[in-house]
Amino acid sequence: MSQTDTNIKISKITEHSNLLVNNAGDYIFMNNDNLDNFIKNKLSENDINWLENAGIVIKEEGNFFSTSRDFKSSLRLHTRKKLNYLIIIPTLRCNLTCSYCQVSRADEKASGYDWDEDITRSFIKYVEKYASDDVKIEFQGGEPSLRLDLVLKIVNEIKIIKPNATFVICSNLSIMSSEFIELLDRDDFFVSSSLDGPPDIHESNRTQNTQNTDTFFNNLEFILLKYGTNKISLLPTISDYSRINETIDYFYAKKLPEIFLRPVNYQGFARKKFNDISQDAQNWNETYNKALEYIAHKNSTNKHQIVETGLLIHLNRIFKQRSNNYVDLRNPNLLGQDYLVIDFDGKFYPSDEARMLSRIGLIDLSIGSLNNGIDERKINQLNTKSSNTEDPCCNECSYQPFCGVDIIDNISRYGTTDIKTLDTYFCNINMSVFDYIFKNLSNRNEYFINLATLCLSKQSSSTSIFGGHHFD
Amino acid sequence: MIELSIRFTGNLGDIPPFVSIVEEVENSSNDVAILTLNPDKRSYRINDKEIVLDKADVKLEVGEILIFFPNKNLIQRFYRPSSNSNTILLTEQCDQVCLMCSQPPKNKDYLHWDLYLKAAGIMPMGSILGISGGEPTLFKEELFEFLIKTIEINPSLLIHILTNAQHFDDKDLEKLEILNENVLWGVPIYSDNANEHDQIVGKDGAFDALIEGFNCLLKSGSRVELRTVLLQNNYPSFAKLSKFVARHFVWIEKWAIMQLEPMGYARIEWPLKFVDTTIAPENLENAVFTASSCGIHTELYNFPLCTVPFQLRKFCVKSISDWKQKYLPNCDQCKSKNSCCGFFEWYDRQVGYKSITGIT
Repeated sequence: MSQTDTNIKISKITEHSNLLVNNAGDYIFMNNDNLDNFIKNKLSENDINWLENAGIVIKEEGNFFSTSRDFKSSLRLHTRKKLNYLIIIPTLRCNLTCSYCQVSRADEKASGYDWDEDITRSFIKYVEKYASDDVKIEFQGGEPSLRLDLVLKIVNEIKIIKPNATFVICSNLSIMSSEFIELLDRDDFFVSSSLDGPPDIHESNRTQNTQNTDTFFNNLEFILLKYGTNKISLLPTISDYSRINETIDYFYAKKLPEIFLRPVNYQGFARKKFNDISQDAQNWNETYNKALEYIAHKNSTNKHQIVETGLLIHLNRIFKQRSNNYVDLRNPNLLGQDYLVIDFDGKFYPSDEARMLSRIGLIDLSIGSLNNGIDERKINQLNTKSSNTEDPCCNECSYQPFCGVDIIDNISRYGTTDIKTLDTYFCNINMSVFDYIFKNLSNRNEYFINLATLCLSKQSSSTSIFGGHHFD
Repeated sequence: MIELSIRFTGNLGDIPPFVSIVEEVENSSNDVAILTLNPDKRSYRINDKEIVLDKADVKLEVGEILIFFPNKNLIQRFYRPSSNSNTILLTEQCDQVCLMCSQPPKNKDYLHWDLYLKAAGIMPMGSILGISGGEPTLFKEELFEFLIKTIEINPSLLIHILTNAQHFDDKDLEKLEILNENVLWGVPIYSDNANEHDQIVGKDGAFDALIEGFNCLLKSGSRVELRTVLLQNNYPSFAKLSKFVARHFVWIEKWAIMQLEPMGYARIEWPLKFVDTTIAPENLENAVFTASSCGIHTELYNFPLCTVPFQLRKFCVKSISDWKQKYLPNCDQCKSKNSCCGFFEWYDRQVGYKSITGIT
C-alpha cells in the first residue's frame, strides 16, 4: 500500500517542522516523528483520512479529492489569452531627472519622442481589434502629464469602443492642471506615483530641489484630500536600506492603506548608479523581512493598519489558485499574450523592463510594432522558457506551485536565460519571501498571522484563518 | 405575504390543466391561453369565459405566467415578472430528514412536466426559474429530460435547482454537461465530518454519497452553489467546514451560509438549533474570512445586517423571497433597511435574536 503521493514535495522548514506541498499547492506542516511514520506508511486510518482531507493523500485516483486536486493544479496554470493590460508611452520626455530613472527618459524640450497622429490612430485600432472588454491602459513615460491632451483623446476614444476600460496614469505629480483634474474626476481613471518616503528622502531620490518637492507634496495632498486613497497608488523605491522604516512610518502618517516595498531595480540609468546594492539579494531579503516584522508590530499597536503589497502577492499565490495575473510572479509567464508595452515610437515590448533593457542598448527585446503587429517568431523564442514546470531546479522546489518565472529579469542580470534558476536573483528574492511566510505560519507567529489575515481578507480580524494545517 | 396559489370562481368547462399568460390585450402570438383583466378591474377573461379570483386584493401582473387547474378552480402562479423568486415545488418527498427542514417531507408530488415545459418555454429571455422540493432528483430521469427540453426551447433560461446531490452517478455526466451552462445546482453541506453531517440530515451514509455527488458535479463542469445552514449542531466545527470548503470547493460559484428559517422542523426545539450571531459571531466571522481569503465567493443569506459584525455586512445579500419577507417595526429607523434582507414572515421576536439594533 503506497499512500504517499508522488506529487508531494517535502522540505524542512524549521528544526522540528516539515512542509508538505502537493502540485495543486495544498500544504501542511508535519513534525519529524509523524513524517517518519508517514513515509513508512505507519499512520492510522484516522490520520490518513485527515491527510486526505488536507489534500496530501489520495486514497483512490478518480475520487472527489483527486478530481479536486487536479482541478486546482490546472487552475494554477490557467492564463488569460486576451490582451487586457496595456502600458503605453505617449511621450518619453520628462521634466525631472530622478537618480534611478528606469527608462532613460528624454529631455523635456526634446522633439521626436511623442506619439503622433498615426501612432495614436493605429493604437486605437489595435485596442479595438485585440483587447478584452475590460482592458486596463496604463499611461507611462517619460512624464505622461506633459501630454494630457493626448491622454484625454485616448481615454475618450477608447471608451467608445471599450466602455468598460479603465485607465491609470503614472505621473510625478509635478503638473496639476485643470485637464488633469478633469481626468481624475472620472470613476475609471486612477493615478500612480512614486513616493519614496518623507520629503527629504523623496527629494534626494527624485525631485532634487525644494520647489519641486513642495509641488509634489502639495499635489499629492490635494489628490488624497479630494479623492481619497482609492484614487492613487503610491510606490516607494527603497535605495537606502537603512532608512526603510522612515518610509514605512511616512505611509502610516499619511494613512495610506498599502505599501509595496521593492529594492531599486537593476535597469535603465539605475544600472550604472546602484550596481552594488541591487545585486545583493541577501541584503535586500534581510531588510525586507525586518521591514515586514516592523509593519506587523506596528499594525498591532496602531489604529491605522497597512498591507504590504509584495507579501499580499505571495500570499495570494499560495491561497488563491486563480491569482495568476501579477506579471512579476506567475507561471507560466507567457510574454506578449495578455500584457503589452507600446513605446513612444510604436514598438511593442513584452514588459516595461524589456523596454528599458532595449532602450539602454543591452539587447533588442522588441516583439513587433503597431505597424507590423506581433513578431510571433520572437515571442515563441522568448516563451520557450516561460514555465517553471519544465525547470529542473523548480521541480525540486516546494514553492513551485506558488512561484513564477521572469525571463526578462534573467536576461537583464545575466545576459542569458540559460542560467541555473537557484543562482538567480529572482529565485533568491522569492524563495526568501516564501521561506519567511511558511516559517511564520509553521511557528504560528501571531503578529505575522494578523498581518497575513489583513492582506488576504482586507479586514483586520482577531480570528485566525490559517488553522488546520498542522499535523502534529 | 404574496399568494402563490389562488382559487377562482367561474366555470372553464371540463378541460385538462393548461398554461396561460396575463396580457393587457388579447393578441399575443404565444400559443398559450391569454388572460386579460376586464374593464371592471375585478374579473378576468380567459378562453371567452369570465372568472373572478376568490381573493379580491390579489392583482395579477401583465406578463405573469399561470397554470390553470380548471377542475379544482385553482391557479398556480408559475412566473411573476416582478418577483425575485419563481420556483416550482416538484415534490414533497425526500430521502433525507434534515433537522432544520422548512418544508418537511410529505408523500405528495406535483409532476406536471408538460405544463412546466410549456410555461418555462415562454419565460422572458434571461429569467431565473427555481426548482425545489422535497428532493427533485428523486425523479432524476424525468427531471433531466425536462431540463434538457426546456433549455432547448428557452436557451437563455437560468434554472436554479435545490438538491441533496445523493443520486448522481457517472452515468449522468453526459446529461450534466449538456446542462452545465443553464443549471445552477444548490447543494447543502453541513459539516466536513461525515457523522455530524449524517446526523443533521438524518440519513446514514449521506455524507459519502454527497461527496460522490460533488465528484460528478465537478467532473461534468456543473455550476454549484454550496449551501450551509447555521445550526448549534454544526457551529462549533464551522471553522473546519470552512477550511474544507476553501480547500476542495474552489470550483463552485459561491458558498451561501444561511441563517435558520423558523419554519417546519426548525421550530421543533428551536432554542437548541438557532445560532444567535448577535451573541456569538466569532465562528461565522472565521468561516467567512477563511473561505473568502482563499478566493471562495462567500455570501450570507437570511442574515439581517444588524445581526452580524460590521465587517461581515458586505457579505450579506437580500436573500429572502419577497412572498415570505417582512421588516420589524423598528426597522423603519434603520438607515440600511433598503439593503437588508429583513426577516422571515414567521420570525418570532420572543425566541429570535437577543438584540436587533438597526444601523444608525
